[in-house]
Amino acid sequence: MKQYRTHLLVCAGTGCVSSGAFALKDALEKEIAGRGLKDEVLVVTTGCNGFCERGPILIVHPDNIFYQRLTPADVPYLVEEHLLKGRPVPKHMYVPSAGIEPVPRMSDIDFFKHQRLIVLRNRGRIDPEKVEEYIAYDGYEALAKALTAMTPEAVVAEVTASGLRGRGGAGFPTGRKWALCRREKASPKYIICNGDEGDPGAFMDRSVLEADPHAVIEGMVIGAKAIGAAKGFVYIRDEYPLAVARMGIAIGQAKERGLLGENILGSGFDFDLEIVRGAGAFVSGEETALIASIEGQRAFPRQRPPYPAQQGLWGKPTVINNVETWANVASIIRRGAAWFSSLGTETSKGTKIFSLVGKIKNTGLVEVPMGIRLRDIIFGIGGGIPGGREFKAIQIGGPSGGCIPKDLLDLPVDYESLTQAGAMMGSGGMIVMDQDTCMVDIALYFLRFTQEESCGKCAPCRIGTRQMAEILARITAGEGSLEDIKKLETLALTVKQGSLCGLGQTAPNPVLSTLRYFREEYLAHISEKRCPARVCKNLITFFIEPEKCVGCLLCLKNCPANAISGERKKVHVIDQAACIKCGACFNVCPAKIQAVAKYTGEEGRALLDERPAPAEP
Amino acid sequence: MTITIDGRSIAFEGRPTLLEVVAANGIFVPSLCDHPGLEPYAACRLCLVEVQGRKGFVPACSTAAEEGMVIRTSTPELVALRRGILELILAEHPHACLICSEKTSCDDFKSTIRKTGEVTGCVLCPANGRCQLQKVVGAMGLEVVPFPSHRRPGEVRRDDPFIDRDNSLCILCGRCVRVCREVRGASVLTFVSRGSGTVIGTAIDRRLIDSGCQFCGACVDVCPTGSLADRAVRYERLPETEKKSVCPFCGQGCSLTVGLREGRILGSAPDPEGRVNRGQACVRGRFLVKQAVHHPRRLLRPLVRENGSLRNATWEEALALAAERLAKFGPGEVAVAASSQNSCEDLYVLHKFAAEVLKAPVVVGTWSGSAAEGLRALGRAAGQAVSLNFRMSDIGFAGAILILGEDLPRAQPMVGLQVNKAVARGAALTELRIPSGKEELFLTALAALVPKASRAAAPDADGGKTFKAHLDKADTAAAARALSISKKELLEVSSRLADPKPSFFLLGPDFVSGVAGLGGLAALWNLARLVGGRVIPLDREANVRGGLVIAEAFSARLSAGPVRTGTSGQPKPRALYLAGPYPKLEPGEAEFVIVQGSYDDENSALADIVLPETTSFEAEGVLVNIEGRAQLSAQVLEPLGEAKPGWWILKSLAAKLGATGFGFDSAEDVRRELAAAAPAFGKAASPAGLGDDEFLAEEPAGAGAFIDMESVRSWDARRPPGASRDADDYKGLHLARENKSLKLVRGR
Repeated sequence: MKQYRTHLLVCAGTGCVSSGAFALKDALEKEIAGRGLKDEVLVVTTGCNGFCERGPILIVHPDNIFYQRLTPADVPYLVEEHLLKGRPVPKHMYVPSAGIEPVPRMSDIDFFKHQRLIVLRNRGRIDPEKVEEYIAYDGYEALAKALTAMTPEAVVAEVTASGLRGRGGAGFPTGRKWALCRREKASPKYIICNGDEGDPGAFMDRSVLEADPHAVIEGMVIGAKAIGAAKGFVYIRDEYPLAVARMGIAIGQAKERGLLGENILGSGFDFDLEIVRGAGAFVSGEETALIASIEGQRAFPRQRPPYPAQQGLWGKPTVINNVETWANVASIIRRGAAWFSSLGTETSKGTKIFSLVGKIKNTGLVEVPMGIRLRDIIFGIGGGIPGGREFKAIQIGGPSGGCIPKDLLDLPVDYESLTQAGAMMGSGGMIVMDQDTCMVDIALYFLRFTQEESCGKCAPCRIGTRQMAEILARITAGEGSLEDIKKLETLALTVKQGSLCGLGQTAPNPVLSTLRYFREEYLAHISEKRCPARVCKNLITFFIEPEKCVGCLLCLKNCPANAISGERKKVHVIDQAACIKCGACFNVCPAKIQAVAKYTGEEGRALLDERPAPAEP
Repeated sequence: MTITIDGRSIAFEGRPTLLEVVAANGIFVPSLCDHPGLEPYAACRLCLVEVQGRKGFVPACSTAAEEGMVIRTSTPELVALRRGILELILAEHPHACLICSEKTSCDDFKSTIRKTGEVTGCVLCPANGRCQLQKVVGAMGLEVVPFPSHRRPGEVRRDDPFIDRDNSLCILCGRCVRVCREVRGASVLTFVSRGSGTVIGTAIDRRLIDSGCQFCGACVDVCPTGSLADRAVRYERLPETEKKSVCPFCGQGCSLTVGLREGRILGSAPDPEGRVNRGQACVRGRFLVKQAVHHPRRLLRPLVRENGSLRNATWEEALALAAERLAKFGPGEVAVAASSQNSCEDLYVLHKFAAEVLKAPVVVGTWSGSAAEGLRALGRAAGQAVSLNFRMSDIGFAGAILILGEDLPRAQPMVGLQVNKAVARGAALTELRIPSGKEELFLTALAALVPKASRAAAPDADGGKTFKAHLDKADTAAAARALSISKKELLEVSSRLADPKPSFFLLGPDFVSGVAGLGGLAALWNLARLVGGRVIPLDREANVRGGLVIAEAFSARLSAGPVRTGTSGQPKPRALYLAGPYPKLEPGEAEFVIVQGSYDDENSALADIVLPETTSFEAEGVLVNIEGRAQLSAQVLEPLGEAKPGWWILKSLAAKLGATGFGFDSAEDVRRELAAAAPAFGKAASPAGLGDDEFLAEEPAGAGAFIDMESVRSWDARRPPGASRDADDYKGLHLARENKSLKLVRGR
């Protein structure tokens, strides 16, 4: 095998690809060839590093130097300086915040430093389209162990002992699910990987499928052996073309090398795997709906029991686990249950991937040990809130999750604590919100999402979410009444208790958790017609402070409704009757001036009564 | 086994759902999406109950009762939850009337304002009074709906035959979608869109008729609201009474519930308890009963020819005239035509009249040339008993099915449902149209190709040796060529028939009438014998099996003289008594023609005397369906006009002719005599024996022997001239030609 002195690891996750990773890679290859370094430097495309906000990302191996936000134009200088002259280029390195020195090494960056990688262990270091690279990092070792040195019962026992719980949302113990399915007498049995990741802002499954598809395959073959299945399906939503493509390549490679198909590793065990592409309904992520979808039917969930482990795909016993769950299996078998269960808390073992998005400095994907405090994720890894704003709440668990307030920042992240706090683990989406976020508006946003994505089968979810969204819309419009809060609470209970599947049963969480922690905001909207975060359009008034305005005409030119009058160097005035509250003036007013202000409640209404100053003749 | 419900200990058997247990014990748990015969669905969430030891609430409809379960159905929490869910359901449904305080005083006027395009409340709704949502709201006593209501956009769709669809009344219980797929195997209706925009529709929003709909009406029958409505009755008032009867439109004998108001039929629907159909029907039984009975072409008064044209007459007058004229003809001079759409009572008295009064040589009935008759003839030729009785439900468990010469969805829909079931359970289905004249060649080839290992025990003693020798001579290549398929495909069909589960050979009248001699039938019989299968005759008229038994009982008594058929130099009959189909009469064809029928047609126009007969719905009578099941079809309404049952007409005419032994006072009298005359009826025709699961008695037949192909060459399988084989023909009234909607359905 050919040796290179330096590897250039270009991140080719979806995020970096959209910000130009392939153009960067081409430029690098061209430059390297031009400089005659072809035999010394190899350009490798890897899976997602998780730090998507900084893409395209380049890691220089073995120097462990982390470059960010590169363009093809940066390449000649970078190659000359770093690869020829051996001088890393600080201007492309990560700078935690203004005024601080750049951090050259990846392992020193806060975002990466606090993470603990099991599922994502190969991210950014192997080419996901090359099975050799996966194998080089102990890949398929666990499979060999499970097929040749362990009985199926021992595999189930190992997974049970590890304490691994489903990473898709509900957190059902994986080992117990397998044991249940193994006990079933009917055959054939099936294995399904649920890659229908639909939560807004969540992309951990996509990242795993893109960065390390073989880890998922290896986990599934081990699972198949454990329960006695001969056929498996990887269900990936069609909006993830890269994940579908890489999984397809990986399955092909595994088959070629006898890691999948007939007589795997000469053990006599047969297992075949097939990709099914989802058509884009959120509810397909619910396991029984996903099974219906594979069967070619409309993705409607059905009542459980019977559970899929008893009667699943085509009525046969089926184990269905999430992508992240499957990706944990090989490591557990290879390194043992004791090692795995040493991580995490009493009830939640191992690590969990979260997608950290919203009002946070370091947006991206992080894998952390269970039990880590929220504070450590948000401030330790995420770097806190940008722009000196104040942290207000964190929404965890996708559209059916809940908002957790500042007081609970020391909450350990595990299944039980999150549920108790009114949120849930879900698939691991974390949306950070600062003081400019209106909690009623956020609840409305998520309810609209679940209402649109409700499959329409059961009455409470289909109609209940719609009615709740309407009440919330009424409140944000300043037309709510105190009665509405009571109605919301009753409806939330009806939907929670009455709905057929997890989607409906958890859909009221955003409302319930915001009512629990931010009730005063609801009351402000209703009683004072005031939006404390100054978000709800009906309740705010834009106003140009005369003493701050310098008359630069910027807001005037940008106003789509021509509601601003004024002249150069003279104070501008908003005609409140014509204002459509789009916020354009607020956004364009230069940061050092900040003459446009938002008022709400009494103050805002007082401004409405003032007639605009008559234009001077 | 026992469970405890609300503190009561309740015993149950089998594996019922909790909802079935509570319903059987008179405990009220509301439900809107569950329906007998459909898989549990758990979507309306009204039947939620508490099961001790289970998290949350569980839907009673999809939870199986288990020994020792402790259930609570009406805790305050549950009542509140159900109420909350019902309020939500009503937010999507026009509910003004449901919660109106003036509801009771409004009731008297609702029939006058029901004719409206847009339904905004119960008083304007086609389902008012038969709506299950209305019942549930009533039982739960809702007074307020605290949410804004959302009317689904879109108008009532009226662009299909028979069925109106109004999405604004739909509660998305999914019953229609499920019955269409699970029971009918049609999958025409489906859910469209998602979330609160979900509606019931068809693929790419086409009309039902363009989506493969057979208009069986099952969706209308399961709809709990007025969302799917029978257009013909949606503006009618509710029936005063409902009566059960047997559908006379085909040979399957579905039980129907007929709704009546002021002596007229309003509509009909399949009887959920019907032995044959279990709540299912087809377009004819579901939508055309009223049309057929109250048709303008009905013959309602006796007619006599005077000065060249027909005029109304009294029964007395018509019968006297008929008797006077008939008395002039000697034995063998009057030909009699009969229809197997008439009841056993009618056919018995007709035969007796022909044999004893007219001394006719033969009664030409439409059972001739039927599949059942073909098999009987085969048995006679081979000298062995052939069993014709079967149970439709057995077909649902078939391992392999071969359909020959029948269009099941159209002509035998209930058999079709069983075939769907069998296919869903994994049966191999083959449907063949064998070119006429090639039947024997083809079926023998199929038999020759049956793998040796799959052949059922074929003891040489039963003629197996001869048959095997016969198979060795089979030309499989020629058979494949005749059907224009490859020999490989032929082999595939053949190996599919050999299934360890029983295979069924469904034999339609088109196959039999195409067979020259019994060779084809015998080949089929032997093929079935070889793979251990059964041959099932499927005939299209309501009483073929009954007619056949009666005709056989009279065969000895009728062969008194030469048959005058008018063909090939034989003398023509001088007079005709037509109580069944007959070729179009030529003027002067016979000296005297009596037509006894229900509908006016080209022959009745040329008759000398027309005697109006009731339809099946106006008179009681036994009909024997294709299974051999003898069912008493009850009278549901008084005869229209002056129409009379066939047996009454004949016994009155016999009396006028001075014959004795025709003193029947009721259909029951006729049956008593029939039971004695035709032993096959035995218990089935006796008044005490007419339960709902009575079959014709048959000689024990065993598995049957192989039939020597050479012994069965001569058999005349022709249908009587003039008889229609069209499934839509009822006593000369062609439903599809008379009804625009059915014409559209058939015309696709």
